[in-house]
Amino acid sequence: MSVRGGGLQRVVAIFIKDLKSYYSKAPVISWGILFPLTVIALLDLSARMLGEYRVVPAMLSITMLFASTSMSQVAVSFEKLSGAMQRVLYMPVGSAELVVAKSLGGIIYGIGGTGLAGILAYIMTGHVAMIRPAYFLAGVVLGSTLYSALSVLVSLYYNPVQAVAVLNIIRFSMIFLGGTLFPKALLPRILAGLAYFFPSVYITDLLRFGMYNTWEYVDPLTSLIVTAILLAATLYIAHRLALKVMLP
Amino acid sequence: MGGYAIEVEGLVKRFGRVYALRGLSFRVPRGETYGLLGPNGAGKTTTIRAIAGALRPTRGRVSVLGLDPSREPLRVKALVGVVPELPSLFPELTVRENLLFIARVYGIPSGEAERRMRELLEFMGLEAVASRRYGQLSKGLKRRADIAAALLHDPEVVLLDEPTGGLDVVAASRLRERLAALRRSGKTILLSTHNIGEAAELSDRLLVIYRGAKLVEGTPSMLRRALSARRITVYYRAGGSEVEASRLEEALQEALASYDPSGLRVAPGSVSVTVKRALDALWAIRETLESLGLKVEDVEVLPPSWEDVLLHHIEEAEEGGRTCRCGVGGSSAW
Ligand SMILES: Nc1ncnc2c1ncn2[C@@H]1O[C@H](COP(=O)(O)OP(=O)(O)O)[C@@H](O)[C@H]1O
Ligand SMILES: [Mg+2]
Repeated sequence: MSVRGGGLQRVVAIFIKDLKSYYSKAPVISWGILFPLTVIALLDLSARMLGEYRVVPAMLSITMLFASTSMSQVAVSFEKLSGAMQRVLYMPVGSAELVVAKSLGGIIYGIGGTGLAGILAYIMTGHVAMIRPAYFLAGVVLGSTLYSALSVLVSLYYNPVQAVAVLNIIRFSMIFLGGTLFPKALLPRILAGLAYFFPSVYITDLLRFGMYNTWEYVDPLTSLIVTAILLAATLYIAHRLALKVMLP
Repeated sequence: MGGYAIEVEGLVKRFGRVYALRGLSFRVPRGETYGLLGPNGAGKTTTIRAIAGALRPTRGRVSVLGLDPSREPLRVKALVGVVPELPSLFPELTVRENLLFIARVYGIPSGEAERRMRELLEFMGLEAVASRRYGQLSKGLKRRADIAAALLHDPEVVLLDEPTGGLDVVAASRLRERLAALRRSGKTILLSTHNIGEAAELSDRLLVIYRGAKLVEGTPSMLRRALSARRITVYYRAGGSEVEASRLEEALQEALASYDPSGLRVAPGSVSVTVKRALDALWAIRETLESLGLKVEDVEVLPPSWEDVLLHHIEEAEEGGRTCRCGVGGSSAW
């Protein structure tokens, strides 16, 4: 018997299986949900001092980052640990299909998490600005996809323990140096310059522009282009890596 | 269509500085069960991965049903069912959910998937645990579920990587019954194992590999006949004088040198060894024992066990350094 059905069917099957298996796993709950909630609570304080337009997009951006990267990491690392990744390698699943399928859970978590954080922000502040929803939406979708694919890449390349460490380095440098937690005005010049190396800068400014019609580091069009390029590069590298994992 | 389902020719695989395979060649006729026998690290898993399209050979050629697995991995994977070395279904899902997921990945229509699933659950004796989570099953049941999963898309070629590895004797023997039934179904089966008895029981032909190269190939009975050797055990009594085991072993090695000895074991009260020309060798052993003041009490001469056959070939290969020389060049010494 040969394989029937297209790549889409395989991608969806893997995605649904991942959601069923991993949505309630400890790292997903703690990093993807509890941690962002804590950050949101903390940021509520600073919102009053620093201004909502600075803080609310940052907290949405951090939520997106943690939600999407934790889900994708679990979807790859847990399967490496259980041995099920071996089975996947023997299935007729293409390398691009594997990357997309493994990213989908994280994308959904990123988008959902950002939405939830938005609702929380609304509850805390009593209103939500959404002046340019298309930019906001682009930021959420591109950002979740980029973070999720990045996490798949890291989890495919490193063993599960290393992957957690590497992802935490990436996450926390994005929080502290990546233009999310600290507004540009508060950062020393050299650190503010460093921020441009992190995708979070562009994604946060996209959200900011979408909500408040203003930006802090980078103008929205540049942000859009840079995010799209970073996304394409990440997907490309993840795909090459998946090929290497599947046919070493 | 007759011919060969699997053809492997001069297969070399290098991982960094380690050669996992050094020019392995063999062919598996359609519909036969072929045993791939070798100790840990021999290269069994690497061979299976290369056949399944999950590994790119460093050199050499692999063909599965006429396809090159490293060029068309997806087509090969669709025709081949693999039972990996370790339990490998999704622990969070039940057995049934696992099978349904696999059916979706292989694009099996749901009606047909249901039917195949029912058949296979019955065939592997899994009906009672179909709704239990895979992660909670015993090792034996996990292996059966692994096999059901590998058969779901009705593959023409089935690759089993040490299916009974790590099972207790009861679970292993039950699983072998299922494998014997699978063998009768007419599929082409490649069965890797380090259990020589299992390989002999279940395979039409078998290949012994060691350090990534062919040691010997043949039918199980040919293999056994190939060795005219006998396993001799001599029971003795210390006639007053104590003899150190190492001294006795040395003396026996010397006395038996011309009898092609292998697997020499010296235990308190007995020595055993596999040799050619058993009768003459027996005299030599007796003389050696008596010269050391030991008295022969009883003697046992048996055909070699499968383990002896394997050990004999490995020892011979190590002495001659053949596996090393036959290495990368392609043709192996046997
Ligand atoms: N991915 C790998 N990286 C490095 N060495 C490997 C890898 N896979 C197998 N090997 C080495 O190749 C040899 C053969 O391994 P394997 O095929 O797993 O043997 P077997 O399955 O017969 O126990 C071993 O020495 C093993 O250490
Ligand atoms: Mg192995």
